[in-house]
Amino acid sequence: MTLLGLMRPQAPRVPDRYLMRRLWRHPSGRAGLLLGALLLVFALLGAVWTPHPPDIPDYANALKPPSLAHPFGTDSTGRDMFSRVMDGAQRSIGSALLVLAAVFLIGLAVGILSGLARGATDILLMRLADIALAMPPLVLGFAILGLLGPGLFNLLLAVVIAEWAYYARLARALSLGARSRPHVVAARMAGVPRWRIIWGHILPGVALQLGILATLQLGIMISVISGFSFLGLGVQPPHAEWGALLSESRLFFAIAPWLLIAPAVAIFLSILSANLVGIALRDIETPEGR
Amino acid sequence: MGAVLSCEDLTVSYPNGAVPVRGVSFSLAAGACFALVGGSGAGKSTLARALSGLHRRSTRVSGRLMLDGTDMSAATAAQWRAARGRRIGFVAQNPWASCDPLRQVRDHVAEAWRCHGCEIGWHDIATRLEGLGVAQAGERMGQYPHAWSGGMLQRASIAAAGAHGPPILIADEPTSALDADRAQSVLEVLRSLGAAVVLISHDIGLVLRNADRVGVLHNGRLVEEGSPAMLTRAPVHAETQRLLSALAPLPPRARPRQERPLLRLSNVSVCYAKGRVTALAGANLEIAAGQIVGVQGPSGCGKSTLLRVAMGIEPPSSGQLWRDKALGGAGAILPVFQDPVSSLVPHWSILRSLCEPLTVPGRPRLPRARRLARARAALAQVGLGAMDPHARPFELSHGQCQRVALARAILAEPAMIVADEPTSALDSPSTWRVSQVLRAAADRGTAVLIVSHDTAFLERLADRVVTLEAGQTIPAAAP
Amino acid sequence: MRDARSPLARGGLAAAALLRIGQALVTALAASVIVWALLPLAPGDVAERVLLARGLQDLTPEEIEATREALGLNDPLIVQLFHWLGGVARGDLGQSFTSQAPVSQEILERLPATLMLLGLALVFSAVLSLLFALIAAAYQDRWPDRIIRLYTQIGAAVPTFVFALLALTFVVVGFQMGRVLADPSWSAALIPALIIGLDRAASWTQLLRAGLLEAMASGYAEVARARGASERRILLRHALPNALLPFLTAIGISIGALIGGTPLIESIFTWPGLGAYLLEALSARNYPVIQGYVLIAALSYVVASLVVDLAAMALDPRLRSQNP
Repeated sequence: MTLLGLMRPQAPRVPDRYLMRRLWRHPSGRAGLLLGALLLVFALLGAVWTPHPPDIPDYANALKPPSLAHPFGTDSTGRDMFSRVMDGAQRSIGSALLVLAAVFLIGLAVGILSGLARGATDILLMRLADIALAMPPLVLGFAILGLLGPGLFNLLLAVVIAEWAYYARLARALSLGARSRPHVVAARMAGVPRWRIIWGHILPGVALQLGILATLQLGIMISVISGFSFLGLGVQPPHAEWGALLSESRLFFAIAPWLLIAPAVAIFLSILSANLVGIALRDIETPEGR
Repeated sequence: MGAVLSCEDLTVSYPNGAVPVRGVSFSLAAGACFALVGGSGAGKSTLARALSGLHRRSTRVSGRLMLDGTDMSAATAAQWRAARGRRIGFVAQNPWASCDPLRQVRDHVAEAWRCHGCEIGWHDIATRLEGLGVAQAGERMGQYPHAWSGGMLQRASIAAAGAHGPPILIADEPTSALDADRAQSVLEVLRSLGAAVVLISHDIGLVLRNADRVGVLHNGRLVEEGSPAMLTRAPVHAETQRLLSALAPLPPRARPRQERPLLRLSNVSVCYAKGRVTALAGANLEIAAGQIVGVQGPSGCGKSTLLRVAMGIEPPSSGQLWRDKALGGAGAILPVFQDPVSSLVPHWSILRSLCEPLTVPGRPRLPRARRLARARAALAQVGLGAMDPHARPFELSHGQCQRVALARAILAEPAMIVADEPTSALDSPSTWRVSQVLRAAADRGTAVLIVSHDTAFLERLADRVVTLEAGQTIPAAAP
Repeated sequence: MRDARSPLARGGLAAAALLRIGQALVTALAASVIVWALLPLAPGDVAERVLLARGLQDLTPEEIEATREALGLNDPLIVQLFHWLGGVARGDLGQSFTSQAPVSQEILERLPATLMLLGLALVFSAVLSLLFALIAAAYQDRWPDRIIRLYTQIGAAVPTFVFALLALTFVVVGFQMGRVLADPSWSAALIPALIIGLDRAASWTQLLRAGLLEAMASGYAEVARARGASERRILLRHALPNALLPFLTAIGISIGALIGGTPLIESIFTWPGLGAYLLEALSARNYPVIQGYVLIAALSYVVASLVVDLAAMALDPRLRSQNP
């Protein structure tokens, strides 16, 4: 009756110095990490080996229900669904990770620059961010894809352009707040050079918070990227991606509804794993969780 | 008079195996004041919650508890709820946190009646508030809690706690969020209700002045009990002695030598927001090497601004600021801030935070072992000798963080230490320890400028206390 | 100095609202200008695409040149921009490349369908999350809470479009409930809105439950308990209003996600609203439509968050008194 240990009452927290170890001790953190590792292995394996060739049609075996040879059945051109889900994992999970890495770095750089430089640089960067933030999250993505045309690279670019501003805003607010934090003022008064304060006092704290945000957003990213691909705006055929697989399978829902299950479950599990880690991180990093 | 509250062998245990209160027995006569004192983690608040049945469902409470003639040992949740408010009142520590921020103060008071299905008119509430010393209560009670001062809001909370004239009041640190001069008057208001009071406090001085009997709690046990006079005359248990040591005067200081002045502020004003807000209006301050100067005053009087001007991170809008050459270099002035946790770098070991001022350019580079030795010595000085220097701040209590922050300032031997409420998170014995440390630093020639709302602490420690009111200094005579 | 109910408080609210509306308009406009500025990045020749989109073939260079001139594409970009902005000021968002009808008119025709679906979904998710969160908080750690937590965990991990697709395939179609190909009417919107609401409510319930539990453990709840108040009274009179404040803000953000997700939702339910309109425009590279959509989406987002902010200000006396 328990979902991956979620429903267990929380164990008494033992403070630990290292974030990863604290994450591992947290029941939902451990479940999320394990599930995430499993999916990562699945995706990496899918990049080099699949039971059947994922992209090559086999019309004789079209729309077969699940069997031992094809655990999730075959699609309308006879391709093995299991192989396609496996092959699509690298694109679904990989793109989400890539986008998050990009917005994390851009946000960190822009935010800290903006927060510490102030003046004209700050105003210019933050006005740009405000404009990106003035729009509902996906709308800017749609607009950019409309201009550039569909495709995986364009999709990633669009999502990065739509998302960087949240990270930059947060990084700026954090580094502005850090400037007047007692430990930073104390270091300044002690004569610690500016670059050492930025590198040692400000950057790690800001990076940690942005990292937490990125983890919390990993699930959203996976769903955004598969959503765009579902609409045909991302990964292009014949390549597999979970959202694109849903879109292909959808046409045959009346005669082969099982085709929807595998990609949907894959999306569900990867978001679940990200959410579980996110819950644990939030628990650990809020003051009560210390 | 008989006992209105008595407990025998009261034990509280948590589901995770911890036993914060072990076998506590005491009784309380009608109208008397019984104070529970002890260091942090002694089990005071847990005991208070168990006495009013506020423990969580999973917490086990055993032993015998008599409340106003009724045995509550096996009371159901409904029985407890009927008793709370009617037979046992409760006053919490922080008056602002005690009020629903979305409701007016009068609703907060009236809730004490309404939640028992009674009604009360606004006029009655105003009369009761006036009776407890809230001026213009009729008009002010329509305001929201955040607009009230702590002392006044605590009076409103006391009015709510005494709504049904309960024979017993539990007060958990009712004055620790208030300035010292207000604490005494709030406590008098609390006693004026006529109920027997269980007073929980870490302020041993306040307790000795106000309680009829005092119990010392240590590791969940009531280790000593007696009248204030008895305890001060002949404390038996080591914990009692430790708590009382906080009241001992510091050894008299060798008459401060006539040292050269380091810093002088004459008629300094600071304005913000293009002159619309005045934080300082004509403040005067002088401090010499080896001198300890205290600054006191009500909240919002400009104390922190004065410190920032003295530190040189806030330029005065007008007036003169003179600083000796000795204060010019980097690291000559080191601050100790009020907020203990954010004073330390969260992701660094406390060792690294402690030693950071030693590693700045221009200082001779010390080998690692020497730095570690000095850090350990500084920790020992503030009473944290047993602490692992590789611990991270989140493993420490607030009081420990505050003492580490002080150790960092001491360690670098600056020309001046500027401390803003350096004892806000400390219990009395630790405060006393900090006084000694600051005194020792001053004896080595460091000037010490301290802001505190703890008047007793300042008077004991400082050579001179300056009072700040509405941004102006009122010079006071040396003690 | 600390008086919360100064006569300025009410005026402050109105002034703050005006300021926010002004800011909002400027940013919404700036957003569509940015999309404008990205136009030269688009690959291919716009005029050629327009003609292809109209179904013409075997284009001569003259035809293309004539179209380019007619669409004003030969003017410098800045002139085109001011031309467009001038149009926006008059409520004219330009002409659709494909149908050659005014974009603003086409948007207005499709807006009611989208508003109907989103509004109904919003109501469903608000009601469901309120209900679930109150039950979960009242029965914390007991079985109703556990079931609701399981639901929120699963719901938060299933994207709305996936949930909608599965629900449509296995529940609605399987049991022949309602028509899948729907005309925009309230009754047709019911099942799609319920599906969206059920999915959205999962993450909203999580938020509100956390807020309620935090408020139930707060100082004022503890004091109310010590005065003898019942748990239900504390939950409804103290915890709920306090937990609603951060919840409102979260809903404001969530509305943005809902607006952004309309193309996906409408594609799955074949709902003839703005989202479906955008998708048509995307495949035809119908730039005026895309720009118009961005402007409308940004505007409605801005209005939604404005309403949320004002509601929070009206609820919270601390926010009211902060505005000088």
